[in-house]
Amino acid sequence: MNAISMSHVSKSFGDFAINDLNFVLPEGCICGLVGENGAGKSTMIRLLTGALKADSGEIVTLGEDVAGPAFFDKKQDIGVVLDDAWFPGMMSARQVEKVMALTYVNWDGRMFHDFLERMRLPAERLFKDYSRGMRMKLAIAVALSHDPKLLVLDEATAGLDPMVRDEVLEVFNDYTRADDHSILMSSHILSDLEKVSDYIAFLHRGRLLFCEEKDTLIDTYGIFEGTAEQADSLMAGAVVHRESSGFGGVRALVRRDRVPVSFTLARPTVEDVILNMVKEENRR
Amino acid sequence: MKALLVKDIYSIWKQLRLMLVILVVFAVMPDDYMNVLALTIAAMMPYTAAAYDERSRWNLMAAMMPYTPLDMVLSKYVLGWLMIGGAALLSVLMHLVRFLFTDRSWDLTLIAISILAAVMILNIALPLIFRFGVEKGRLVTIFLIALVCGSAGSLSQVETVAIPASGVIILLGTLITVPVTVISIMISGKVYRHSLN
Repeated sequence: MNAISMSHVSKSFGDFAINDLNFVLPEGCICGLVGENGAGKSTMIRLLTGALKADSGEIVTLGEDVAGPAFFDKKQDIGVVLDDAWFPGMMSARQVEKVMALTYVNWDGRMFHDFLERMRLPAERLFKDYSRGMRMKLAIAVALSHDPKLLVLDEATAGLDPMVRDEVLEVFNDYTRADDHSILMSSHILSDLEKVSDYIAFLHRGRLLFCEEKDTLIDTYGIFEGTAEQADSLMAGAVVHRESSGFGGVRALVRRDRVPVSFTLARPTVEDVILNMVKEENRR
Repeated sequence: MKALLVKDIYSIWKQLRLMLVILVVFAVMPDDYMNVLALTIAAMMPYTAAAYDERSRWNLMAAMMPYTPLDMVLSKYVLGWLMIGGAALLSVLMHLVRFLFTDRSWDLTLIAISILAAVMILNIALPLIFRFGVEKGRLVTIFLIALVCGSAGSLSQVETVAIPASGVIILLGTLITVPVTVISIMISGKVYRHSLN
């Protein structure tokens, strides 16, 4: 079963639209969702969690159509961490726990307290007095403490210091050891996605440009650094995006299968691939 | 819905303690029309809870959690009814104390009418808050409070405040308030569901 399946999904807001989105997250996998600000990542997350109704298309999350009445019960199995939505500021972690225990059937108070200790979160301090990083940590603790089958994380590691970010990514990795646990994680910190993701999905202006296995993505492309004449000699379709690197030199993202083996190509990072694709899309 | 009610009570706990002090002060005042103001303040508590929700964008997160649209809407009404009921109970207790230890008469007519007025404020304010948000909904709410309290204040200046057939007024008021409450909840539910589109 796929954790998430979106087929021909469209949603319009007037000046912005998601058009004919097709996306699949296989069960047991972590997918990193990448895109510029305003690309539609948060809209996509709202659609697949049933918080927003699509204009057309079908969205199936954890085996249920999000538009159907049966999806309500599936929300028990979805853990959510959002970038820009929180618990009310006048509540403390202890009070959040009491509310969540009444919300989720499978709430695990012991696990929640373990997370609070591990992340050094004060249980009695009001949420409004938390730093951004502390808010994120609390939201992650809540999301993980009711035995979810799907974690949906919108910039969950933003604002965390590097040590905690590493620890949190390890927690996410451990979480997906169970075959039926999946994660959709949007982030601007591409190095985080490169560390933990099995798949990378790239959303640009409401369109999903690709959703590929991370290793396949990195193996498909290469970084060429050479002269402009060498770049010009490459066959059509080989160069995804090129930039001048000064003194007549060129740096380009190229497709490996269209470049002669005599050319030396550097292994790209996910960030290299995404940035070059965005620049090329913006240039068009 | 219990989870949402508990959340709201936690959110407004500080204001609740302040409201309790205000209610006690109003209840011991000689002017019975202060009860109207007390219950009106109680009816504002869901507005305060909604303001905290809006500031943290809680509704965005709650839409992804196992709360039905009815839970989200009804919890605010129930919070309002609980606050109004609590304020009314306190007012009745203070009336009893005054009746037992002073020469004041035992007449709960004004409290009963105040309850109906407070519920009607809730019925009008909540759909507006769900539709327009706390900031814009507040303007109408303030107008309503001023209207209710101003009317009560004006009546208190009239020397003869005999309300003929007060029982009839309360009965008529109840017969109007109950269906208006149902309609208000239905409108709020529709507005909330529309916001998910």
